[in-house]
Amino acid sequence: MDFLTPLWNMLIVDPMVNILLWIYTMLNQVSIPGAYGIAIIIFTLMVRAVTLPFYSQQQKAMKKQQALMQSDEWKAIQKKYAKDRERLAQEQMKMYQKAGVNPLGGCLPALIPWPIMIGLYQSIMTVMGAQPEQLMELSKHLYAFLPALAAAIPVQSDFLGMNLARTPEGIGYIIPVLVLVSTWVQQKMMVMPTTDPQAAQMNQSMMIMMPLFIGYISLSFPVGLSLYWIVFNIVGIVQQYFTTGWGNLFEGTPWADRAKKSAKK
Amino acid sequence: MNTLIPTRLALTRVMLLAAAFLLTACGMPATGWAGARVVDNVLYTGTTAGKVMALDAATGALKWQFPAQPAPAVYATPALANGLVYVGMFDHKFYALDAATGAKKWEFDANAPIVSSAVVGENGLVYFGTNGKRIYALDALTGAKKWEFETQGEVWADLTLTQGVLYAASLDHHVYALDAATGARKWDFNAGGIVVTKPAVAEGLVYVAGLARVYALDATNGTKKWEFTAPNWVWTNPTVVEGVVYIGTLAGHVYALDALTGKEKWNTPFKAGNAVRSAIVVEGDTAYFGSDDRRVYAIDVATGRGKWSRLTNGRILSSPALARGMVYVSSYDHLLYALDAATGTVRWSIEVTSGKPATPSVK
Repeated sequence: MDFLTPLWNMLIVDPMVNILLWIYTMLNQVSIPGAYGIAIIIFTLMVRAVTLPFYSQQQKAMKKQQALMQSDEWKAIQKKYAKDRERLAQEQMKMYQKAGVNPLGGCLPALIPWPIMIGLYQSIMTVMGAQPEQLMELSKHLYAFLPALAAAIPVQSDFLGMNLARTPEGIGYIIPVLVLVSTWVQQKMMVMPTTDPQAAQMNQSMMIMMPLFIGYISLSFPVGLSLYWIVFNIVGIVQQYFTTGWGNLFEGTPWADRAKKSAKK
Repeated sequence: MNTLIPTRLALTRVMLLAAAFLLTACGMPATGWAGARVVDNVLYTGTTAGKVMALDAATGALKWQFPAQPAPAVYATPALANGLVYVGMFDHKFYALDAATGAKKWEFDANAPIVSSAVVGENGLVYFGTNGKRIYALDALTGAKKWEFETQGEVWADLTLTQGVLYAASLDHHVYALDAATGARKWDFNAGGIVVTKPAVAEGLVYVAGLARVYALDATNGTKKWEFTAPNWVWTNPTVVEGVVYIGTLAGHVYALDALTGKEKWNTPFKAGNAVRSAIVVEGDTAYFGSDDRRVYAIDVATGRGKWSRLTNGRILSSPALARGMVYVSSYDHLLYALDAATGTVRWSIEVTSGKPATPSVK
């Protein structure tokens, strides 16, 4: 398995580190304040753009699935076979086939971008080089034919009064809050309504636990990494809006009807 | 049963696994690479367990360790003077400890992690750099601040003090020569990249590395005398012995350079299996160093050819110390090794997490 790390570095981390640092160097040359923060935002947007087809496919599959689950036919078989779960599963599978929906169709496209996102995460951490060991590792990722990148190190990690290389402090505490809120919004928009009490309960607990978990761990992450999470989530929210509208974001609020109408348009 | 449940469960598990991956891969933890110092048969060192230890250099028996609650990391090699051990830690604190007992005499809050090793002057001042982009001079007996010098970058490099001049380097790409009494700048030199290595001073020249370049500077005014370009970054403190400068690179090369001209002395550089960050320590006709490939090496200083190597179970980023025919070196396997300098045989080893003797499975 020793060959995996060099392969991973060569294909994913090295290109990302060099592109990220190149963006930073360009911004730094024109003396843009908070250059590394802006470089993280630009680079996250670029990576999100590359992975857009996978997310769109996932979201379309989810939308189809959502429509099927809200149909009268679906509700009818759920009622009819409420006491025969095996038969219910068979009937639901038939409906999936009839509607051309693959119940796992949303999963694979959702998994493909993960290695890229993990690589992006590693690149951001590596370039930040907040600890001596990290900065030492950075030398292994830089392309020798781009000597200007090495000369730009260390990156200036000040961004909007925060230090991107450090855990939140002072005004930086707004960052974990934004991580939590953006994670919650995206998740709330994506969640599919279900009449199954077990699934509904799981949705409910995930809706609370996941944003809390991500928000909590972002307290111990460098601000730069949380910035990436926020941009990642915001792009996801925008994508989701253009695919399925506001989804269930406003469920239980006075704006619920309006949101549904705008989604139908 | 709703067929979506297994799907969602799987997806959730994958997401949690990914989150766990992110957590565990959150950069590498600060482990530290403190070297060791042997004085009066006592070995003082910072450990990968975030403590400073004093051990019997002959047997490895633990005398004391500090602090009770480990710091996040110790990068600095302890300095000794006035019966005190001076060391800065990654927890922002600079400590003066009783060399005999390890009891804290005083501490100074630097408000930033400390990587740089301290140096103590005959003028009663102790000097060190911090990640807070500052170099401090403190009263060595009381810890009272005498002066501070601000740079534009973190000061990770160990400091050098000679003839009333303090030589320091910073991640702001500069090497500084400061008046040790006042902190006034005498000169500075732009190395064109980060400088993390301790300036070495010999025969009126200052040797320092910036990224992949090694420079020899005039000690009086910082004028460049020569430069040598290595194939990769140089993170080893240059060692100057009998007109030869020894350096290692993060690509694993070890070079011997003529101190006056910068020309290579060996036909080919020695090549370790991975990065060499540890300083090259020379005694007699042998140079000793550790490598990221988990080995401690002994090579012939005349030819650059290997004499022996000893495999440990962890990366070796700390510099070895030599005393009484032994090589002392810390590994990221959390063991501190005492090796026979002539053969590389393990004389003793201790677990730095417990301070107890270990039986390492080294080859």
